[in-house]
Amino acid sequence: MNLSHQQLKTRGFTLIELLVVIAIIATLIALLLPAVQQAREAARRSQCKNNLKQLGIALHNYHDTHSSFPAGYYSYGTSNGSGPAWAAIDPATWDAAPGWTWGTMLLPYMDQAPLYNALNLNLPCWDLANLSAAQTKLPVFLCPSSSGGDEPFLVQDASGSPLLKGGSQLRFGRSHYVASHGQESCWGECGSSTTGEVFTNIYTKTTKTVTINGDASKVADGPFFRNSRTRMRDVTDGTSNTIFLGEHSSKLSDKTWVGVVPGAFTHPQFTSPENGPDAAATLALIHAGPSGGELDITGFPIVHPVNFPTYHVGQMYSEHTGGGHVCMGDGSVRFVSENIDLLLWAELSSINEGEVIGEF
Amino acid sequence: MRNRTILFSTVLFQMPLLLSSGCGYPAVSPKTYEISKALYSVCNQKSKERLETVQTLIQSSLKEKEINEREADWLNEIVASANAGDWETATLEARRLMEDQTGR
Repeated sequence: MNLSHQQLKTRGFTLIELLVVIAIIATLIALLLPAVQQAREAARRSQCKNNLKQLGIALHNYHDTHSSFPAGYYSYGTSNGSGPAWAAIDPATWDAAPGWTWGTMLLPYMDQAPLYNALNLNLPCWDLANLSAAQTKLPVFLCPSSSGGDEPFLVQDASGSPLLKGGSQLRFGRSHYVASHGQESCWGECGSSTTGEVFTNIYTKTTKTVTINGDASKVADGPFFRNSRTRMRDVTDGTSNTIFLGEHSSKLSDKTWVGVVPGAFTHPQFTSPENGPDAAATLALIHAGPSGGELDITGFPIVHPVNFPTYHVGQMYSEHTGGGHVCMGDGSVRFVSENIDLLLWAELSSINEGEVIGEF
Repeated sequence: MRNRTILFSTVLFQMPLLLSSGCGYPAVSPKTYEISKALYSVCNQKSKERLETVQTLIQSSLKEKEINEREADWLNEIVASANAGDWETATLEARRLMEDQTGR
């Protein structure tokens, strides 16, 4: 009996031995965990890059079919802010029905023809008949690294409350990808005004004032804006030197592949000293800056590349470490550092400003 | 006694680690934020000329009490890094100052 008790005693671990083993295992896990996380992020990054590639190819297929790229979003054309009741023109921005964005137009070119056919494009994107299909979750529009959610979201008004159309709340399918409006932004500030400051030269910092009358093309110098019809030949800076699409994580704000709803606003999900809600067009578009002659306190144009720490809802934002993916006009996808030369980012955002583009 | 020594040495070992890890920048005045934004673009462009402008701006803002001394010290440290030719560190620090003002 004594012997067996002794045998049992010698078989067990002491507390110290146990703690040492646990410590060794913990150290090994601690060493291994970052490597595992890095591998997972690399896979997510690869998936995100592939999504943008698909969108880039779809853009080119669309161009082949229609001889132009899709518009940033489609809106009833008005030069004085008035129109038929069905157009539902927003008096502040002149955004109107139907509101469908570039993302919707690409659906048939991404194996989503059934969804495209389920949408009635003759009706506004917020019409009751479209609300069910508009909530579809499309993986090609979702970056796996985006931590702000990938489920459909409620479209909001200026105050942050759900925007009501015909008494109904609107829930739209999410997109973590946005289209580039260029250096300038023409939505909240100058969408409806007859004049607006246009920053024509980022080097001399000179501005000129033009009459807009609702025509965003007079201000926008990027490939996508309200009712844009950019053709390949319009991109005289070179398609490989022009950013068409990029990332915008839902951690910063909600974006959609569906449509721009008059009266809607995009709200930041976290605060910064400078960010705040912005007009409906930012549901699908972003810009690079400067806009409307914006200068910092030293007189330098305010340009906001991907992940710029002002965290505006109208800029690109990625949760990949160190920068974000962009899809160039030629369909190639590049990873751009968040510390990219500011002027270079502005140069890459315009289609025909004639800048000489360096390495990036 | 032996346990106390172990505890003491552990705390002693961890204190510098905790301090060196830093807690980031606290909320700063709007003017400091504006200057840090300008500093970021100055460092991004490696512009010695505009760096002098920012330096003057820090001094005048401190004089007019738009920023406090602690904020001026942070900004001046970034300027010093840039002046020493370490643009990369200065850029990252200006970015960190801005990033720490967000409610993420």
